Amino acid sequence: MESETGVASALLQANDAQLAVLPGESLPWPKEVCLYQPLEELQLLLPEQASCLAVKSYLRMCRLPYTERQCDNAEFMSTGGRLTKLPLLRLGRRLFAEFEPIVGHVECTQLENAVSSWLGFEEREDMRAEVAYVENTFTLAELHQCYKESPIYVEHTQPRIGSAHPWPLSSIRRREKCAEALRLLRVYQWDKLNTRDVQAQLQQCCQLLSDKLEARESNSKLSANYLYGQQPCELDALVFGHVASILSSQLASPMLGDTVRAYPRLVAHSRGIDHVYHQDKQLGGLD
Amino acid sequence: MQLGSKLHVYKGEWGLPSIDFECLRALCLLRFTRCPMEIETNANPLRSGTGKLPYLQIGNDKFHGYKDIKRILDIEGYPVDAHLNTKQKHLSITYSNWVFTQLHAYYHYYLYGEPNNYDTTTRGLYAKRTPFPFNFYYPSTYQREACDVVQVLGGFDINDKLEKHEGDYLAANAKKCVNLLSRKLGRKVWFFGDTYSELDAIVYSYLAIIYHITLPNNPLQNHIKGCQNLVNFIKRITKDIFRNECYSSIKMTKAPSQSDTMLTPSERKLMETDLNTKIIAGVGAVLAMGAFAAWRGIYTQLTRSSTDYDGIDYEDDDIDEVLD
Repeated sequence: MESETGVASALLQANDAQLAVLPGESLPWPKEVCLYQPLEELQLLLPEQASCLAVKSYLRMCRLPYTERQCDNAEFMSTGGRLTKLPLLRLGRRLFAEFEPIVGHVECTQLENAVSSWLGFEEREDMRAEVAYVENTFTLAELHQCYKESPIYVEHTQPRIGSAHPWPLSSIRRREKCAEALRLLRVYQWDKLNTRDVQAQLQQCCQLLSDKLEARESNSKLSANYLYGQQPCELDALVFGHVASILSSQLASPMLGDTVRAYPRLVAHSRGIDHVYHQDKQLGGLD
Repeated sequence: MQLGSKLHVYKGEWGLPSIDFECLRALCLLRFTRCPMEIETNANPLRSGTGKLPYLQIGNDKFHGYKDIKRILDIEGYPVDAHLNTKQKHLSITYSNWVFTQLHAYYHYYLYGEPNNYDTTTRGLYAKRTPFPFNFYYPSTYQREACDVVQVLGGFDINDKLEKHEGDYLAANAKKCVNLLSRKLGRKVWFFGDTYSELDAIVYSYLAIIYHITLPNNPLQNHIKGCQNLVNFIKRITKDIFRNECYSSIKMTKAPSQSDTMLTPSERKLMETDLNTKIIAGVGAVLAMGAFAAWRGIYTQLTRSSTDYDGIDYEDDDIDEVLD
């Protein structure tokens, strides 16, 4: 059995393609696959919800079966990560947390099912860099709004963090989580930005995605289904996760929702994925 | 651009214009776009409102940090991505972010986090560029910042024992990043062909420092040496674009025009003013002695003795002549 530190380092290296599999080989998908996340109604914060939805969409695109479990202590079971540390995926006896490590593992062990296997080498490199950029930007924007914007903090973030624990543990937990989120923003150099700057960053990201969709449209002369052609890839899953969460959340300050709604191509892209992979459950009730 | 705008950065070393990654990034933005702004290398980090360099001073306003400085330059008409088309701009933004996530943790751990490296090299570098008495505690603020960076991006705590540090994992990621950058650069002058971009600035800022710094433990340095095109990239930018800002405290074999490379311009100025002070002191001493002498009446004695000598009338002589 691996020691604690060994597990932590092995898991951080989960996106290393040469971990335990020879290139070209494929491992069978385990029978017991479980996705852990905090309680959606009471505990889940916006950036965590976006991350969980992105992973679920990705697994559905790959047609890999999994079971969902919602529990209080999902974030404590998590093995760590660069941003939200959620969701946690258990494959047999191995654990992976966050979108990128999970996708990395699926790519190197499920060669037939992995959705980006049809992309060229250079396109895949560009796409990986774009996944990192989009995940960073959206997650940091959501974190910034949840923790630094007081109406949203009071109405959405604060009750959700402390809901699983009784007082005084809830207050302690709230303070800890705030400190962690602010530290994250400081490391990525977003802590000094105000709402307008965050909106500018988000708009830049949405513009990039919208331009990609537009380029696909003009290339194929059909309405663009996905960001890299007629088949979906992990970037589509990630974008869907964040856009759908933002659109379906009702936050006190509408900055995130308004920014995303200003790009109709993105909204149409997310609706398409919702229709195909989630049977319109995520965005179905919205205009 | 207002006259008198100045960018304050740390002085360089090993032939580089600055020792600090953030300062180097800001310098790249300035020099790539040929923005006419002065650069102050004898900067005092505690004079910037936030206590960190770089900072940009325009009139009475100060702008701290790379993001603010970039925003100001964009507004003033010196955007760094001016000559790129849309697709290249997108790739520049995406890859700059990707390089940041891969190399930031490595840079902070091996420069500030690893105890041996920090104590022998980095601390001294920053302490020499900070005025007394702040140089005793100021470099450790960088170490505290590095603790946060490594905790978030690397997943371990610098304050733990050395065996628990996962520096190898950071080094492996950094090496993969360098390989990809080398592949992307190929034989081109800049990453996007003929024109500079933000990606060039960020890659140069990380790699130039990691390549030149003399640390006891720096696994990426040899790896970069193996990528000849990246080495040429670093040397070309240092030699061509930062010709005037390079500094090295070791005397180079090619003799520079001044006889002393050990003195910076401000130290040379101090020596000149020293000479002036000595001249003024000498003149002052002579005047003081003269005034004392006048007070004692030496001048009147001297003048009296000379007139007395001239006006002596030997009356006895005249009488002798008449009698004879």
